[in-house]
Amino acid sequence: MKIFCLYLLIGLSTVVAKTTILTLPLFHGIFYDLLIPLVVFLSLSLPNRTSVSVVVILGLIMDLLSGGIFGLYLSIYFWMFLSTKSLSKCFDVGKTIFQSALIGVCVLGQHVVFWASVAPPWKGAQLLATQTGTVLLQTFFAALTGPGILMLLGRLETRFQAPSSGAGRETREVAIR
Amino acid sequence: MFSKRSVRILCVILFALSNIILLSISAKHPHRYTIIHRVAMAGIVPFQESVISTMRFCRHIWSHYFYLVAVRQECDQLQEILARAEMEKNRSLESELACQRLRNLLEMKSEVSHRMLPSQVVGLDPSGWFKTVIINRGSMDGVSKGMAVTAPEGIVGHVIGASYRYAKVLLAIDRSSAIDALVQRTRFRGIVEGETSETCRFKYIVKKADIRIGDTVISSGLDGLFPKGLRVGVISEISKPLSGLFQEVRIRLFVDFARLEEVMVILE
Repeated sequence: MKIFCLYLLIGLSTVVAKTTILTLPLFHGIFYDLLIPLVVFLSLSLPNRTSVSVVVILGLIMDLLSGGIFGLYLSIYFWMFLSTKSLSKCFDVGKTIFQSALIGVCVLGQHVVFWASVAPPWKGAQLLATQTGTVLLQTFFAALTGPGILMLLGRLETRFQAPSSGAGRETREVAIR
Repeated sequence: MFSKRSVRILCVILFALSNIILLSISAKHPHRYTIIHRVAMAGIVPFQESVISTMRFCRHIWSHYFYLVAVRQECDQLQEILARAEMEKNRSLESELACQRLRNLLEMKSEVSHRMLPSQVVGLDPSGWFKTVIINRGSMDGVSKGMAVTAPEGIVGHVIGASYRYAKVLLAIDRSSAIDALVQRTRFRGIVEGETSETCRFKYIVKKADIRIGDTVISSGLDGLFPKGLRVGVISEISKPLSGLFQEVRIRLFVDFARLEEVMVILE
């Protein structure tokens, strides 16, 4: 329950930051959806029951705050969660290069889904040059900073679990293995 | 009969299909505003509001107490501008009085001014693909779905849902936004559609229409959302494709959506 509350709080703080500070002209177009590294981390490190509930709640909140199709964020996060879980069984998720590629692909995938929902290419809508630039910049930035965020979240979990037991760390190690 | 792996793959395919179907159903009813939306907004928006207020306070402190290097120079410039503006004001006043006299002569009804409610932007859309903002006025203040939202520069958008204290506004630059507008100079009508960028498309302008780059576009008042005469933007790009009936026109909106802080809700 403690872990559930911790990650829910981190997620909610990220949502608030994303809709206030990170929309400042100073950060315009650089910051990707910072909940993506959190979803990847939850998928890799926490037991299913806890992580699925956090992912679903965060997805719903994003859908409620967003002006897009209801359920889009929820679907994206959920499929991201499932894909990461499946990939972790085949690859060594502890490697930075893999984490970097994974978060980059997730950010790119999210943009593709949004693009398809906002301006369906089969209806003749085109992606503007500025939008393409933003998508590429954010993907690159995500690949660059994603592993760092995963590491921070991992450390936070270890620190949070440390006084009680090493259970969390073990869970994470088992999941990564 | 089936291996465990096949069953799993089938389950994933079925889940994906049902997900797509549910999303399609959801897309058929965009901007639906339910009780869950109200609850979520009541829970999250106060935090957004406090963060935004803190940011504004810090910016205010910075700009009013620390960043005073260029203030003297700016003050001199402003005094000069003010003197010129005073002269302009006098001229405008004279023109207005003359206009009023003529209006009375023609027995025209004076234009009804709209009741406006000032409000602040307290949250933006989490995604860059959808253009909505949350304002700190809700049904408690008389705001309801469909009301027009403007800024001193021009049209901002319209309300798509309101909770007790907050309301969600769909910006004019969103792809699902459409405004019935006309060219101020020649009165040719069209539809301004968002493109999720700084410019909007001005659709259904026939090829023979007399429009020029720099022409001002205003709301026509025929869409039932925006009152007539509100400034929308200025024509920035015109192209005439070989095929088709219409010109391809882009307009640059007057409002700077990246720096939107205060807006006015038109209550009537």
